[in-house]
Amino acid sequence: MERPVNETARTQPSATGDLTDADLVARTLQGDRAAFDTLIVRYQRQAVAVSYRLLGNINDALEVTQDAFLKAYRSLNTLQNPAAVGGWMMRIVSNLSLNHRRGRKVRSQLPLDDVLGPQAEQNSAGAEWMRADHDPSRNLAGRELGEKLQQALAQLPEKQRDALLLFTVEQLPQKQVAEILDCSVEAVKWHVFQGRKKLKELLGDAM
Amino acid sequence: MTTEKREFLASQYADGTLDADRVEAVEAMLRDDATMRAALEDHRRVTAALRDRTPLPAIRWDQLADAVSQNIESAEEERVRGRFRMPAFARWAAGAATVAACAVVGFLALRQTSFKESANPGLVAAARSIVVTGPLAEASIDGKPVISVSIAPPTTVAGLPPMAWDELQIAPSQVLVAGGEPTFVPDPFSGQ
Repeated sequence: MERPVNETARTQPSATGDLTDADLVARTLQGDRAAFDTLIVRYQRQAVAVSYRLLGNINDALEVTQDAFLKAYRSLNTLQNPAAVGGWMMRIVSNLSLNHRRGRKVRSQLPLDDVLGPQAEQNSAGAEWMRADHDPSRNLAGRELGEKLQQALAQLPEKQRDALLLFTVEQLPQKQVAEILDCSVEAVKWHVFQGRKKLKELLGDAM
Repeated sequence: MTTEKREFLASQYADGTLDADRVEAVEAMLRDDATMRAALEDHRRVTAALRDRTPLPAIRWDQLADAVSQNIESAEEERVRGRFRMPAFARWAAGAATVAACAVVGFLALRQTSFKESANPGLVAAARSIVVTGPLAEASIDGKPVISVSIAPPTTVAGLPPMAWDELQIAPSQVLVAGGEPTFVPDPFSGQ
């Protein structure tokens, strides 16, 4: 998993980067904004990933991530276990993502052109699943497989797709995936199993 | 055990999510069952393809973190500003009340008001000239007529708590009428 690069003054975690999550939460509640900035750096990648897997649209995922961190900042004093702030934040991200998916309401406040890298697809045409990888270093067969995989994923039932992407791709703990999908851990295992089986059938010889 | 149940166990084995006490039994099954082994390989291949072929779009993480932090700062500043701003309906009501009050003041200023002795003289408009008739107009100081006129509602007298009209009459404003031209004397209690 790539690690976020942080080289800017605003979110420079030099003074707080080595602190535990519980310490960062305590400092934030005492008014230390830099402490919360460190939490942003620490969890933004996972937040974007979770939201992106649920929404299939990077623009929406970035907006939801922004809203989720704001909501987390404002309700940090309600967190009962500061050491579990990561999982707590991911629940906020996933709840907002699922609400967004249900409502399909799009707001745009972030300067996305500055945030998205040169190879990122900017999709504003509603929810779509992941674009094909346009990295020129990938061979043709790999790109074709990627496109077929996207088409196959789009055909899966929502719970199977969500479980696969969150557990198999993002490697979230099954317990966390169960909380996000509001089902049991056994149900997550079953969704993952059925989803992979279905993908294998749809991809056929491409696999 | 059905084929599907075996494949489900193979899926969990591939993910490493089997209960510890079942791993050994499943490994024994895999050794003896080619179909189950094929299912295990399928699950591993699909997992590898998903992880390899569905990457996140490229993100400038440092800039995203800055943008998120800035958004929080802006939102908090806006929330603080919003606490000192009246809600829209209150602003509308205040505006309407101001217009109505100005209309009343203007109306009274254009009229010649006649004062009558009363326990509750009522609000007097902030007019620059007032023609007074009646018993109060006969009061005089050094030959100059003097009347007591309250020019502000009880609750707006500076420095004083809200009072009834009767109490206000103790410290009224004074309007000296000399030569037909009123000279306004500030009320020491109201500062006006």
